[in-house]
Amino acid sequence: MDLPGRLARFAVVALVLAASTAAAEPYLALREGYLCSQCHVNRTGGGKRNSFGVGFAQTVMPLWKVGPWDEGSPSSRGALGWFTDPRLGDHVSLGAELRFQNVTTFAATGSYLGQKLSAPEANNFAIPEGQLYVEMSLVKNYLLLYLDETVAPEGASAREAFVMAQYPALGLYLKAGRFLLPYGLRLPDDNIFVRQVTGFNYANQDLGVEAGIEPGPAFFHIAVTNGNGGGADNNVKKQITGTAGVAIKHGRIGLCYSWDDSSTDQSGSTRRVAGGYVGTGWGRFSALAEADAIRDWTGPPDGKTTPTATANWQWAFYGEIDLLAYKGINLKAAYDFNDPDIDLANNGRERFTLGFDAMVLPFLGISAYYYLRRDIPQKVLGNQDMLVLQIHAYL
Amino acid sequence: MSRALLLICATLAAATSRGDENPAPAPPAPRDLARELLGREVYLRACVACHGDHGDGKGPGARRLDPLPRDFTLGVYKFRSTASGSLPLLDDVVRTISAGVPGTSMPSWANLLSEDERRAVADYVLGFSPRYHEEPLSERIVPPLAALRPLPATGARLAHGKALYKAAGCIECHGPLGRGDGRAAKGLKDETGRPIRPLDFSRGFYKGGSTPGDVYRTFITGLDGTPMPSFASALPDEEDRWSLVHYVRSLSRPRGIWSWLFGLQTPWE
Ligand code: HEC
Ligand code: HEC
Repeated sequence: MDLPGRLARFAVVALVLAASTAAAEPYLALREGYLCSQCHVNRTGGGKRNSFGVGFAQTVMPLWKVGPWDEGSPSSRGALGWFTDPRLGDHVSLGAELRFQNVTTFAATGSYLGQKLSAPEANNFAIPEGQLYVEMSLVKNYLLLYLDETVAPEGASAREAFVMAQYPALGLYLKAGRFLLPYGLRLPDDNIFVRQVTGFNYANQDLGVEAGIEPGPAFFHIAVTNGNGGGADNNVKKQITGTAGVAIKHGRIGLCYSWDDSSTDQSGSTRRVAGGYVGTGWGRFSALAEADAIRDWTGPPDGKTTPTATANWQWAFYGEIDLLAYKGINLKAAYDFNDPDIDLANNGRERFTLGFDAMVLPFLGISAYYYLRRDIPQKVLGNQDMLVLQIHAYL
Repeated sequence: MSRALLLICATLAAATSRGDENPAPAPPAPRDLARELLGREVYLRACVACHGDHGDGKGPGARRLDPLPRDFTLGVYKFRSTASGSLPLLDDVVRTISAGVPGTSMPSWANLLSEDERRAVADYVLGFSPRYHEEPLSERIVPPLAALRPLPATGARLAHGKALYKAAGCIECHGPLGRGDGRAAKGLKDETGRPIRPLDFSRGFYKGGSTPGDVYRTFITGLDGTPMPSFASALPDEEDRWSLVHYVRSLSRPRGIWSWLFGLQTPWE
């Protein structure tokens, strides 16, 4: 289909979409002027919500707070009305997350060396995320054990598992175990190019230690991990990942860097990722953007520059605008760009996103997003537009 | 989710929040252990994140909030129907808990906690201050919302209110258009020493409630712990009081597209 036709369809679908996931996403933090740690146990965001986050999800976010159905007999509603706090006793707190979606991938055509290529339309149901969270408070407020276990769609595996010591008054913490690396905006969609190509996404976690502090409006996080994308590693070299930034009421800025020489011994490759993000929130409106540059170097194991050594630079950009159209209902427009090799011209790929999420009830959201995708003609799969309808339940 | 179900939810939510405007006055309760336990349970689950284990406003989520969650140990309450400097009535606290404090992070609990639970937790919260156990019950100086008889807003009252707004000194803090930019507004601090701004009336919502009766109560009793004084003795006359109420409320400006977009102050309901 020609571009104007696709744009027209894009617009029509976007208008017709009558439903929609308010994950505690970065735009929410921006709108409220919060740090990720305001609502999440993991101080760099994502995963289990803390008591503040659980309360926020019930009082502020939803379109409809669940009301007492049986107003006449308040006592019949048990000890705590409709307010839910997933705690077992004083020490254990649970959490869960499930995203279920229907994805339509629209047909696309392309060409390679004069040959026509095509990809057919497809539709499938999927569970992109199914997590179980356990937080155990070992020393109240100061020491905790955290497990984020992937339980769906397939066999169980630990996404995160760490112990964390913290000193809440300063936002100071020390984490040891397996965790997501502190880099960039922790957006909920791993297909966003800045998440996909940097490798800092929900599919990649690493073993190591992380420290951070949140003095006043500033925040610093640094992690020392095995590196090599969390893969096999038995050398002394480590990956260092860090983010530093400032968050004030109406905006924030962060700078991120990752230095990974850890696989030099085996394959002779190194990776540097540098980037930054900015965000702002004013009333109903919030906007955020991230840009990253990635340098992959491949050469002899000793790291020396030789004629066979190659360096590839690529960069990626993501920008998003959000509008709280009505309580609980967020409209989103986003733009993704990735140039996988800056030495080659015209090989960039793009993605436009339009849609919305609606937090209909506490802990339940629905969303609908249309993705208009563009890639070079020979990558026909990258030219398939997508429509994703999702249900998101969590606690 | 079917539309019908959602509609039912919405209707129920609307119906129940309306019922919370005027909680019935509570009889003075004898010490009731079950109720104390319920209050504690609710508090530990729903309130600690902000107000802290010890009621001192130092919950784990409090550090970056503005304004800070209330420190209940001080026994200083903004929203009362009692004289300045005295403790609020249980009903006042129940009202705050039910409605939340618009424009701040204090949520409304009306649909999430039962009336029973809100009363129990209000009692528990009041108990953090030693004053609650030592002092006799405070006296009401403003009748309950349902018993207030607002005088109608006439042109003459609005004009009179405007004159009073100047004469009584509201203008000094709240500014000529009620934008919170009066001459004395700069450098105001609350009792904890944190900067505080007079409320911007043009926004059209008030922390202590937006009905004429709510605004009446707020400026008659003042907001303890802030520079907003009580006008109970300065304005004893009902005619004067209601004139001011209507004038202050008339300063709310219909929201344009820009303030709709950028002026959101998390009005909870
Ligand atoms: C998300 C944070 C948050 C939570 C959760 C929260 N509060 Fe608050 N609360 C606040 C803030 C902030 C204020 C101060 C508002 C102001 O000063 O204008 C406040 C103020 C109050 C006040 C003071 C009213 C007055 O007259 O001064 C009471 C009472 C109160 N909260 C009760 C509760 C109770 C009971 C709960 C649990 C059911 C609760 N709060 C949960 C943030 C919170
Ligand atoms: C010394 C300065 C000062 C003066 C004089 C003053 N105010 Fe205020 N007023 C404040 C401040 C500060 C606040 C905000 C308190 C807060 O946000 O907790 C406020 C808040 C209010 C509110 C909002 C309460 C709410 O529910 O949010 C009303 C209504 C109000 N003032 C009315 C008046 C009236 C009427 C007068 C004159 C009769 C007056 N004020 C005089 C400082 C002042």
